[in-house]
Amino acid sequence: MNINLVLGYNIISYSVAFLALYSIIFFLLVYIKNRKEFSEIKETMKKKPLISVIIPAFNEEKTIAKTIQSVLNSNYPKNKLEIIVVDDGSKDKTVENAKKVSGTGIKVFSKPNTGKADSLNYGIKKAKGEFIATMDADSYVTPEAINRMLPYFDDPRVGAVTASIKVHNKQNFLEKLQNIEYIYTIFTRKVLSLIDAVNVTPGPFSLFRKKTFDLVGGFDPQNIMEDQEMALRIQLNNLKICSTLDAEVYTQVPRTFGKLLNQRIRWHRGGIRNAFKHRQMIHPSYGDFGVFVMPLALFAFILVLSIITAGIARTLEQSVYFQLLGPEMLPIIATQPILLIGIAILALTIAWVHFALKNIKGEKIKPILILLYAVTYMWLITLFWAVSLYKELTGAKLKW
Amino acid sequence: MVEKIQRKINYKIHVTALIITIIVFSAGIYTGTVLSRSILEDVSHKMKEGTYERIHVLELMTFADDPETLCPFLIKTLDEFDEEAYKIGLQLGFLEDYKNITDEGILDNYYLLELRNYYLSKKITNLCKERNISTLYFFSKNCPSCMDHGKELIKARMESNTSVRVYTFNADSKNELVKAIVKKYGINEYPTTIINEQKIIGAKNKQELLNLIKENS
Repeated sequence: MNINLVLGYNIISYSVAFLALYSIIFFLLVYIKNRKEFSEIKETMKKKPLISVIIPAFNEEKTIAKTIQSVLNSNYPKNKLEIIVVDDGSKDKTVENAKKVSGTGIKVFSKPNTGKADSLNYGIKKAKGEFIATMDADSYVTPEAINRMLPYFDDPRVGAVTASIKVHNKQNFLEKLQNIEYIYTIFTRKVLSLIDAVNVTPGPFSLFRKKTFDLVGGFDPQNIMEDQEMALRIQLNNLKICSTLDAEVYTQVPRTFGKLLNQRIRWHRGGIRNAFKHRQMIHPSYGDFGVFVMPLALFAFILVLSIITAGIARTLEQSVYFQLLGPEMLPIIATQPILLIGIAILALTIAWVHFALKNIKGEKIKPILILLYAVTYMWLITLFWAVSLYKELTGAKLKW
Repeated sequence: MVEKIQRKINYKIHVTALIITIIVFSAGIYTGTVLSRSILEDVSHKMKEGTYERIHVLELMTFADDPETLCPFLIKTLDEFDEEAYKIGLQLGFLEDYKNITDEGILDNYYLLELRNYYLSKKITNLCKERNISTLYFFSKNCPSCMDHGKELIKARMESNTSVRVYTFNADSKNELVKAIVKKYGINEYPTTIINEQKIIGAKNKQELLNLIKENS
């Protein structure tokens, strides 16, 4: 046996396991320390400022009307809502369907196709509101969401508030898994907000102070993950991003494996690039965000790459013994310390989902599905990362 | 007016998380090591029992009225003994390679077990005129090509049509009996393979070994 190889992947897999264990324990402790904030109900903001909801749309004829309607159904004074639909050169009936929705304060602008970020900037220029919401044309906001997000802006340091993004379509297995993932993410983002480390203001629905854009600039038109890049720029300028658990916004998630894979390739590749772009924040002056969350985001791909290589090397090396020994190998394999540490990480992940479900109202999910999620999704995410990295390293064209 | 946030590092949480992580991590390594050690104990126990079983078979051959009639039983028993030692060897090898768990005493007992199997196979082959290829394989810790050679030998044994009995010895062993057999065959280079008394020095691949087995059968 090649001793150096065995030593090599032992060092890699044990360091990655240590880091994974540390991260999840750290975040659990942040949650436990701040758990009172999770049950606290924010007072509704007394004054009702004008809010401009910007909906960039590119070929969204199926969902655009329903999206606009959901904003109109908000429990917020109708004369204080301005809906700006920015048609990004759609070739279908997006404009027609948007104009069909009857209501006050809906403005539809058409322009040539220049991408989502540029459309958002176009909308921001047209907006008159003191607050600006960015919204995807295939997402639906619940009536109370805006009222639940607004009070966070009473704190003058707050530059943006994120909604609780949930899954609209949860029929098939893949969608149900994503549903758990989204709940997990809502909770994680809330915990991140407690240490000022939110790293994305999600496209489906986020609320910004207009002044935030004056201070940090508009969306980056070149960026493939413009909602994430915006959040990083807000952090760079030391503004606060708050997260909600109860301001529900439902969004369409990919139905098929292929579409999900494409979405994740875009997220991960865009994520790596943005983390690299704003790497100057890896600095103690950015607090926990600078010393822990940012490095984790930037080096996530190195970690994933290490896990994949170490895993393959280990499996290849040990498979010789497997072939020769058969089932008598199992007790020896099962008592490997790395496997026991892996089980501890899995148990903590399930605990994390449990806390998420405990704190997010109206979500009942069968325990068996949570276990399935923890076991299968881990592999899916690793696969998505592997494909993303492969594409990033081979320089494949990155597109929407 | 927009104000800026004062950022901080939550040292208390980091330190607490680090302590808990170290505890869980060490617990995992400790438990894994203890459980692996218990596998080693099991193997050691099995080998002790095995010694008595082998002595019992020798006694049976010595004291039976008509030992030839026992041949089918003896060959079957020998096969079982070989299989048992082979599996123990793999388990010990895995524990050593991947978990760094090894015990000189247990390893010595393993090579003794191989020696006893070899002795038994010689006796039974003589008595029962069984057609087999007796293979002795000597390796040393300081021999980089030995590991691969060992694997190739296992593969060749599995693919060969004739019955091949492989007995493995660590030439570095301090055990007097193992030392004696190393001396008897004049082994001073590694790996050395003895196939039906023909001495082959150096690492071979599976096909070369299969050819050598064919020549000697």
